[in-house]
Amino acid sequence: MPKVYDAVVVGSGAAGGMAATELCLKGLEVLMLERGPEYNLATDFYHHKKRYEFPFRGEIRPSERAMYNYTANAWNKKQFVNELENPYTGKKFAWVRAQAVGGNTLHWGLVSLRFSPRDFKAASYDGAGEDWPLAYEDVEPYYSRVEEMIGICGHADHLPNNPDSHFLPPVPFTCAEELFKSGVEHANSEWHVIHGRSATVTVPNFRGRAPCHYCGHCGRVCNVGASFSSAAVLLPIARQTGRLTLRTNAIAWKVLTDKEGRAQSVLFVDRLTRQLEEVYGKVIVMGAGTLDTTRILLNSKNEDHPNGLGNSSGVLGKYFCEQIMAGNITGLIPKLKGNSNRGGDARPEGTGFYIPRFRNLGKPRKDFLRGYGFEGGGGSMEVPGFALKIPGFGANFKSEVLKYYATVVGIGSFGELIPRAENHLEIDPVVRDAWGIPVVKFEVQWGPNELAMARDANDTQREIFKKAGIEIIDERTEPLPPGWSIHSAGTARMGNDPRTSFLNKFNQSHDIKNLFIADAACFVSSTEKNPTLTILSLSMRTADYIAEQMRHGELA
Amino acid sequence: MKSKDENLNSGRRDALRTIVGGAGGFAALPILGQKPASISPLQSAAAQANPAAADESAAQWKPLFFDDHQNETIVALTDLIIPATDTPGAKAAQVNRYVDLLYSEQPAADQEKLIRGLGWLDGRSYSLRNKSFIELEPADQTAILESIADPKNHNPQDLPGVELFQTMKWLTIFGYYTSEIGQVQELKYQGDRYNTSFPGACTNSH
Repeated sequence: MPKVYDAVVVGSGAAGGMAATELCLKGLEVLMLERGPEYNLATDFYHHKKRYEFPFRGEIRPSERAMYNYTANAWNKKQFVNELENPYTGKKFAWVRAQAVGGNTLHWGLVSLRFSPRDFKAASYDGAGEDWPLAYEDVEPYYSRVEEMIGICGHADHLPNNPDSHFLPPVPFTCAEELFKSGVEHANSEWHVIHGRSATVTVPNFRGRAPCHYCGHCGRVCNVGASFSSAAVLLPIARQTGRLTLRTNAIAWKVLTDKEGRAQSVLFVDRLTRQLEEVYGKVIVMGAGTLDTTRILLNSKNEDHPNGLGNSSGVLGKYFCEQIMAGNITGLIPKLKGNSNRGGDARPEGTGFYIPRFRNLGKPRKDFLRGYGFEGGGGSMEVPGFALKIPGFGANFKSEVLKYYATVVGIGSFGELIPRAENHLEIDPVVRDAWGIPVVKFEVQWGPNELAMARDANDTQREIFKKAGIEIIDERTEPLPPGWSIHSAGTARMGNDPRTSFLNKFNQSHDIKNLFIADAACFVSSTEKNPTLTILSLSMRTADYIAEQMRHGELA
Repeated sequence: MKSKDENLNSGRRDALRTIVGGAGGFAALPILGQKPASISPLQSAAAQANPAAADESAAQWKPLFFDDHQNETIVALTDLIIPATDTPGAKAAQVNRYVDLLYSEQPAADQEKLIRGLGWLDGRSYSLRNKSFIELEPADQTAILESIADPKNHNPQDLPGVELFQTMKWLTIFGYYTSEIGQVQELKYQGDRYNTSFPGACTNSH
């Protein structure tokens, strides 16, 4: 008889890592599957290696570009899948896929924003999409527990649509940001420039973790675990229980069911040996990330589930949502010319500042629903890319670049994509990956609401800069392709009605009681906010529910 | 390194650097349906046979991609764009070696465009003084660059030069400010090391 774990968790990132950790803490025996290897975060990456120590200055060399996604660089590239081995088809889409224990949390942007009470009931305000089957009050205790577990730095701003977390001290603003903040807030009372909220430890001895040492490159993988990753923060907790078994290099293919129609096991391919293996669990928890979770469940179709496992509703793969990255703008603050402050980007990802959503919170606009927020920062940044916009060349040019080095400020928008059934993914009938597994075909594109919102975001970024007295040197007004935000969500949404949703409000399949999804596939809407804090909180809530149900014999 | 426009314009959320710095670890589109950059077998073999060529400290450095004349032209251009002042310039920072290494692997179309641009530059130099660009007096070199330095110059006769200049300006900016001289001596960059607090915090009164 093969071993039957209490739970098999697919994925080791924010969703899988938190679900496994919470289940272990609740006394369950957990097997975690991860398609990549486990790296030693302290030694396996090139921490603090300077750009000039790399022949290609930290960038992916031209002959390898086709192998990597757009976020990869010389420091972090080994944590990603090889794009050539992992194709996908359909409409243009940017898909960033980690292949390492810790998943995308190894390199994420750390921005940690609670959704607001209004966010969970957005449809009730404007009629678009669906309300979540749960309310802010249902999630709030988990936001609090997650924050106390992982550490979020920031400042309590008391904004109704941006609820405060339990914050560690924020990272101070640069001079450029102080001037920007005062200029912007003075220009329009709707515009707030708040400290970025980032999953970084800014105090000594937070739960035994090292504090941030301000090297500025969390995205190159933090070597001391000061910035949050599942690998650095959650898995040590799970392992301490003695109840976690980690199976690396396991590429999940499908979830198999037993004669009674319950989820029984996960079939995976060993990435290195290419052998098929099957592992058994009393419950199966999907946490592979929205897109791979959806792919696995679609690939799990069988006679009883011809459209994908647990997909009697037909919504699996549909209602994709994320945020449109409509544009960005860069400028210089003339008043700061000659400023000698340095190290403006030697701080955690996700700090800097954030301009929360201000659209459609009061009087609704006619041209689009929902809204967007801006992430940004200012000061001296590692590479002075703005120099291309400084006219001329020669000694005077060089001197001007230096004088403007600490005066740069930039923002970029993230706008809500309201889910629509036609924005979906499916399985390509022909193409398979290097392990023989059918791949995803994307049918996602921006619609009229996103494009109208994007126009407004781009007009507004210009207005903000003009009114704040920033000298604009560059702007992008062409939205980036879908997927770019790496905030994919919604393709197995939760709801009270089994005919229109895949999961119930506890992230449990309506059709198969011992099948759960812990990642953002469960989202009913994306909001304009970064999803990871909500993923972590809902994953923890899911695990609590599983443990409680098991205690009552409901899932045994 | 991506094209200059992509460097300035791409973005993501870790794109404080993308947006503001212009050249963080990001961003073109090595994603969908793009083929690997085409490298001629000859260049690829040369790179493998001569790994020391990538080592900036190697005394016997030879260009992988450019011929000697093209390499000297690249040295001259980069040093005109960022010359030595109270700090060393692009020549001392060996920006030409970075450009050469990068172009040894760039897609063929990009390689071709740069080579043609260098040819255009010598053509303009011959028509002016009957000398190649590197043989010109510095004042003449500067005069030619001034005629092509404005990206808004749409004069068809200058166009290949305008494109060449924008490409070389970006390569020089990226190559110089990511060199040890550029990052340590010129910019006094504070990241990539252990700091006890945020070194960028505003400490002066604007």
